[in-house]
Amino acid sequence: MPPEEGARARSEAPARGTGVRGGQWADLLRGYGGRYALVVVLGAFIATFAIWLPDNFWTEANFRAMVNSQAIVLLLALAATIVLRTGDFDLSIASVMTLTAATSAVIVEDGRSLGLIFVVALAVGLVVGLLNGFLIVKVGVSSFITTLGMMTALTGVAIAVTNSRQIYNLEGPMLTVARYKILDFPLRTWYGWLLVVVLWYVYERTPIGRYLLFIGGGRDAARLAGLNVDAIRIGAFVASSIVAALTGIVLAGFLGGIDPNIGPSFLLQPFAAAFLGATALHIGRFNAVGTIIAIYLLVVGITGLTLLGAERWVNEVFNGGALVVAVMFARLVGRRR
Amino acid sequence: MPPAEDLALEVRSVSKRFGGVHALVDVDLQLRRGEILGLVGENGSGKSTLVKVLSGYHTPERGAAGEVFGRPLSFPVNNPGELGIAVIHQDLALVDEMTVVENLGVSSGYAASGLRPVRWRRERSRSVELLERFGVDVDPGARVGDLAPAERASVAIVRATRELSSYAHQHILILDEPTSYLTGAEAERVMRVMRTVAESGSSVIFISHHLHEVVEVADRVVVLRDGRVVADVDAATTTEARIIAHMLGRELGDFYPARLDPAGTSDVAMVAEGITGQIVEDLSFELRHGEILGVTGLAGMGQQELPYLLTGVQTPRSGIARRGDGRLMGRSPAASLRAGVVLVPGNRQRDGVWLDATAAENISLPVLREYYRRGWLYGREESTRAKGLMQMFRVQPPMAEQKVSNFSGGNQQKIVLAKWLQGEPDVLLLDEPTQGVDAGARKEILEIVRAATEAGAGVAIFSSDLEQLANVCTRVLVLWRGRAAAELVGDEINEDSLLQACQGESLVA
Repeated sequence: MPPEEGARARSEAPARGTGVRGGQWADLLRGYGGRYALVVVLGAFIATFAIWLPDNFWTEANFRAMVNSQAIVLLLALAATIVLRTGDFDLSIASVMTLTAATSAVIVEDGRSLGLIFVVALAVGLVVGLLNGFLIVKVGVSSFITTLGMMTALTGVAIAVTNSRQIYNLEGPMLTVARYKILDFPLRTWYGWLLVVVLWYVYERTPIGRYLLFIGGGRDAARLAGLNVDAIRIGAFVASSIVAALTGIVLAGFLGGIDPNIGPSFLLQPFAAAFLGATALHIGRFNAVGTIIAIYLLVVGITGLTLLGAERWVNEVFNGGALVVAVMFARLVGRRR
Repeated sequence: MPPAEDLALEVRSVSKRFGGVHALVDVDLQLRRGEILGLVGENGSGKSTLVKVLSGYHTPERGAAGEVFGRPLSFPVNNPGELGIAVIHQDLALVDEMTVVENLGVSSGYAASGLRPVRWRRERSRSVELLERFGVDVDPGARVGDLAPAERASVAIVRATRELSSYAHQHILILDEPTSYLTGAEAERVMRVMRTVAESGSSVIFISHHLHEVVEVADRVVVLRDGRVVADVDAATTTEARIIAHMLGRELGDFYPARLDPAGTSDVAMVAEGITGQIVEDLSFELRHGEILGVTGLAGMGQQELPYLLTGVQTPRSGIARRGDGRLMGRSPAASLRAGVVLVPGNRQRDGVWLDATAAENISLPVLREYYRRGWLYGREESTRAKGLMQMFRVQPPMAEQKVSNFSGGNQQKIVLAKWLQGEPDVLLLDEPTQGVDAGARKEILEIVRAATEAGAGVAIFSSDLEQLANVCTRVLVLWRGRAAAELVGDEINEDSLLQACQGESLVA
């Protein structure tokens, strides 16, 4: 700790300039109601569309379709929360997923075993996570820049792996991994739900979940409290990469192949969901349950509007808007008086 | 009541509620032209809220009214600068990397508009003139980061008056603890600038925990307690003790707990050998169980760096620290914690706590594993224990699930102490433990430190607060440019002897 900085510490939050104030909004959101605002909005969306579109929207088939369509995004959004919790970004997850989807597709094409798919995916996740972690934590490059570069580079690697081809119509046990149904839901949906439970447990019921949070919010205080901040941050990058890498297998199984250029289209939605999720249940904290609520909120909104006749572009507008609105909410709520 | 034309500022019936908490209750305040008004009160008494109402950050409850320089004041206050009001916060908001001239001009847009070039020569001569008028003797071309703290504070004041003079001739400067981190002589320099401002007909509201400074420089002192004005007294006829009694609503008795008997000192708790850092130079000393060792010096002599070198937060360039039994203290915070050494950092809001987490989460952080059994973190147990500790350390209110940012400075510091003392550390290193803390909480904090020492801990306080060190330490080490310049023991320790030693006079003698 440079002492001269210590000597300039403020004892009270500085007053900000005049101008637009979010005081009343923040009051509203900070109250107990705020914690469940996202759930209430989700309920309101469902009710509105159900009344408006009883034949199209309010059907079991539509609900199954909405839930299953978000399986991959849910897995990626949960992976994103791991690193976001430590106060960093991992933008490379979508490309890690594409890369392992590509390696998996190529391995299946070659007629090799399912075991090899997993070994390669785990190796990719480990290597990318360690590389991200090393550059960001040990070298000190900003996580945003490092993982942005990594994202682009890995997209290139994925294209190289498939030899610039799109691979389709694969068969075999890899498809089962993603498509086998339990209680009429495909496994890919179950993986997301399972990961919600696992991450809820890690985040809320183990010390490591708390440590991630302190490293994200009060990194210096965390270090002085004896936490091995560097190791935990690197660990978070490795964990998010490995989840993303395994998601790649699920994606390849779901699609029955891979288009190696697909990565960037999965970039924004997981982050929109993770940030929106941080405005629910534990306000200002990235959490697993909030994230899944946010995902379903987004898909219900988009599906409803599409069924009402909106064009396909509503998808991007809704997701992009949600990210900005979520960050704005977090800002208003986090603002101290 | 003075005639209205003598008033620079008057507000009436200012109230502010946060949720159920009444931060300000029906506050009336008058500020005369050319007056220095001392505004004091414990942490959480409403000083900051009042300042934030005046600067437009908070909107008061309905019913508030006021005038500024004879013109009606409407709430929320819009663009206080145009009304002639400027607030200078503790952090001063200067740009360290820029020169004095650049800093002085930045908030006025360098008197150039849009893309027109800045006329630097004119800027410079204006700056020189301003600095001279306020008697601030600094090189206009110096980097602000290289200035002494008192000079920085003075530059901030000069800048505020320059900014305001584009709107009005007379100003109201609100100084929110500008001298908190200054030693006595440095604070005196800042107070001189404040007097010059007042003599020019402008008015100053001076907020400080250093009551002797307030009594010395202010014309009038207004005391806030629990959001109400409880006293409005002439500074010339009051005393520090009377002001404290108003702040607390009772007599404090002694400002400090009784000093420990040096006879309670026992075996060696910690040995530092040849510690060298950025400032600290080849420093060796011992700390014994049962003693409170003070380490002090003028600003920048190394006492602020030393505790971080000892605990491996900063890596020393050379030298080692051992426990009394010869064990190394380690090269990281984690290792020194394992060796039973605890550092209570000086920058509470960055290093001591995470403000957005609850009190319980902060207190339990170093011992969180104790609540994790059979794969489950027992949150209720954590919360109950934290609440017990908060009561023991007299945190008001002892609400474990409140965010730390909702507590006042003194209570935050007690939370930090609860966090670090719960494990009954063997060696306790405290960096400015009562910085930004009011008199009542300061005494309670020092009592806690004293109790830990009596229980056998070896305690070192790293501080520039000579008055405090003189009253609580059994031994004081005075640093000069990173080296030990003097050591005072027992009855030799008083404020005067410490001040002399700090000036390096003991080196001459």
